[in-house]
Amino acid sequence: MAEIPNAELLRCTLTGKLETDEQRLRTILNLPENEDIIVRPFEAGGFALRVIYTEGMARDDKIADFIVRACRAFDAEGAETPPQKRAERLLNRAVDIPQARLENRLSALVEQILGGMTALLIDGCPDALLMETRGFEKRPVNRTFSESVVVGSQEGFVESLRTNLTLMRRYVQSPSLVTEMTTVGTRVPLRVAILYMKGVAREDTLAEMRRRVKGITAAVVQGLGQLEQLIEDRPWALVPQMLLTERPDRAASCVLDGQILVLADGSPYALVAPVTLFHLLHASDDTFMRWQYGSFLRLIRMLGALFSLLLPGAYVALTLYHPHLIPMALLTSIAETRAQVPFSALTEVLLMEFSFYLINEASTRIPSQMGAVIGIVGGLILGQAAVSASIISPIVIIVVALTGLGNFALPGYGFTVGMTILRIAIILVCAALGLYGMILALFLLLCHLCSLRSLDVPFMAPVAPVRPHNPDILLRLPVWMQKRLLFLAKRDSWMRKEDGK
Amino acid sequence: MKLTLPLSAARPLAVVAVSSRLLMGLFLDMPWLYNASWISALGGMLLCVPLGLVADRFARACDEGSVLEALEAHSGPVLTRGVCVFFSLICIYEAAVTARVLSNTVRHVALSESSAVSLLLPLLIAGMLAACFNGQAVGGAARVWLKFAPVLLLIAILIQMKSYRFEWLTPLLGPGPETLATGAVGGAGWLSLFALIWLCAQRDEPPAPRSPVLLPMLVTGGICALLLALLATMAPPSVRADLTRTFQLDKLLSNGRASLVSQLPLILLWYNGLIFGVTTGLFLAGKLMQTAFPRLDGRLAILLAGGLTFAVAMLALAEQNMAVSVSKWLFIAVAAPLAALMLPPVWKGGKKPCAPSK
Repeated sequence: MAEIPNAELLRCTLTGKLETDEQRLRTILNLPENEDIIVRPFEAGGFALRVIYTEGMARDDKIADFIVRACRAFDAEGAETPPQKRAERLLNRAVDIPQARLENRLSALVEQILGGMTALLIDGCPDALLMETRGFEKRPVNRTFSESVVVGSQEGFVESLRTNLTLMRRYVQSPSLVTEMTTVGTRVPLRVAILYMKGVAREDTLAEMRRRVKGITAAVVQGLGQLEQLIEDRPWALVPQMLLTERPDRAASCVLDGQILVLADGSPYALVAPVTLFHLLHASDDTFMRWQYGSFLRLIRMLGALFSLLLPGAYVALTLYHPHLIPMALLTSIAETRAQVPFSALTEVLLMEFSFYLINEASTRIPSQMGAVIGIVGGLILGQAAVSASIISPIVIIVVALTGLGNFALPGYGFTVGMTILRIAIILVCAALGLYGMILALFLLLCHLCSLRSLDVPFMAPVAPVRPHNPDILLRLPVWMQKRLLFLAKRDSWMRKEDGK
Repeated sequence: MKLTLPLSAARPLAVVAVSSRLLMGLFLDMPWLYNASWISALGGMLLCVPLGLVADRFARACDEGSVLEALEAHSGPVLTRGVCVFFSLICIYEAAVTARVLSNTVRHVALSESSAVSLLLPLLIAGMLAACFNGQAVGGAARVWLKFAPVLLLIAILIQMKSYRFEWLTPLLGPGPETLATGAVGGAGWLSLFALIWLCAQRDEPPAPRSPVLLPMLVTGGICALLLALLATMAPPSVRADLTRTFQLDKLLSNGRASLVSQLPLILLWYNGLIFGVTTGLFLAGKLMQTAFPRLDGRLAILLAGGLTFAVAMLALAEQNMAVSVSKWLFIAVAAPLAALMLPPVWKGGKKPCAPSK
């Protein structure tokens, strides 16, 4: 396999000869073609220095004030310093940047320069100074787009890893919150952070997460979505085995329960593992409300999930094979409305499902100036006109509408797409075998869910297999009854309730 | 792939599979028990008590891990593997009978023009795929199903509230003691499948349950007897009726009194119970085959079991008369080899204090 360009040079360390080191870095960074990499020569303390940074990634004012000017003020003492100690001396006596360190590897210098840090090469010294000067434009912390709640925090993660880590620190102000930084991608690295609560997260789960992240051999990993696919237990399964959340409050709740987070630069999400099916069905504002309201809304959401998965298939099965199970009045109504429709129930349902998702996809991609068009197309043309022309029956529109609403009641977007694919499979099976087919499909789905694992934790736990748990699966019972730590956490964790186990 | 079945997963699986087989056998295949099938269920329960006691004793005496491995250690591999092959054939037969009944039910309820192949194949494919997910998955699914089944059962019972007539339970020994005893032997045979499921399980959670076989078997038998008694109060015994599976199915699902809409909970219960029965049979057959031939891959074993089940179901071997004939010998066929394998180590004494010392 071909090596990355200048691989040989990247393996080298600084020589101490300024011209040689500068030339090597210029070669690796493709200067002078790369016009946004700046090399600024200057002198201080009687020796030559070079400041190297990426324009737009690093802050010019910080470089000017706290590096160049600070080094020039070092002038008087510089002559007494042995050449090999110049970098250390500048670090201790001159440079005013809080985060700074010595570095002599070219690969590390290049990686950090491209990340927004500034490197200071010093003539005669085999070490360079690497200083934190990041100051690129980034989106401010704003409301979440895909996980809205009525009650609770409205902040969402952004694309900057540093900002996301700061958000987590604000929500979990504990010294036990550990952030392990690493990179993934063998050719183009992506900075990721693994967060967990020390003494709460299980050691074996943590070790498994580290092993999977460090075991990624992909050349490039473009965000958390791809990372998730590379470390999932069963990437072929339709149901996600890790949770992607846009909400820092939810991520904080997960990490306090002993789960592990992964944050990545450029991704406004946190990846949470291990998770169970119930984590995918719960929303963060269930816990913010009174237990009665939270339980009620959770039941509505579960019903929505059932509608989403089963309603169209049940309609097809009952109308094609089991009309005797439909009450007479409803059966008569269905028969009347379907009398003029030229298509079978299956064709009607598939046509409407396809149209619904076409509208859905189009509304996601359409420019905002033309957003109103979707309402006109969807409501008038596909709904009203199709019924008037007897292409579909009104009851199918109700079925598909309820299905869509049930689908979007689910908190996670990825999970809703999986549900859609499963729903279509169930519709086809129901069309072939009626209720028998539906029950067979559900049985197989249930066995599949029970076989899934998330970071080696059973996906259907704590129901199957049984694990001690709080009354927070189907109903969200009062907070004072939630005495146990989540079964995903370490058994004898220091994070225990005042009056519980 | 090695087929495994943790004991915690085996218990709910056994409850679902055995209860559906027992109900199916006593209500559908033995209609001449009329409204006294619940007495046969109780009789079967009593007959299984010695088997359950021996199994529990053996469980306490043997070491941690798989029951089959313990049997092999005590009785030798040749005998144990021979018995495993025999038991796998029993599991295949029972799976075929259950599959046949399910396909008959489906044809009766809705798909009357579908061929047996088109109804059996999807069932067996689904069963094999589910079995390939391994025992933890199937047992977990049974555990989840056991959370929904009581709700559906309650709905089905409440819908029929006005239909129950307890006088239809009399005369208690209406079919005659001999007929009831035959039914009890059949019931014992189907209940003894509990021990087969336990045989294929391995301990996974300390401390081990004190009664892994007898207590769940008695509870399952008792609940089935209750359900059979309830079914008996829904229609009067009719000696002139057509004693076929179809007639009994019709009686089970509709009884002529409840509205057709209310059939839905019963259909869901019945279908799911039988699907679990078929899947359990396939899994156990595969597991026992793998024990007999350790190099056999788990998936291949299940595929073989599925193929044989399909063949048996398509032939007349799984029909009512054959199934009833086999049921008379099923209890002996299961209990005798198990007793032969388990009694000697129990008599010899084991390491645990509960085992009788020599």
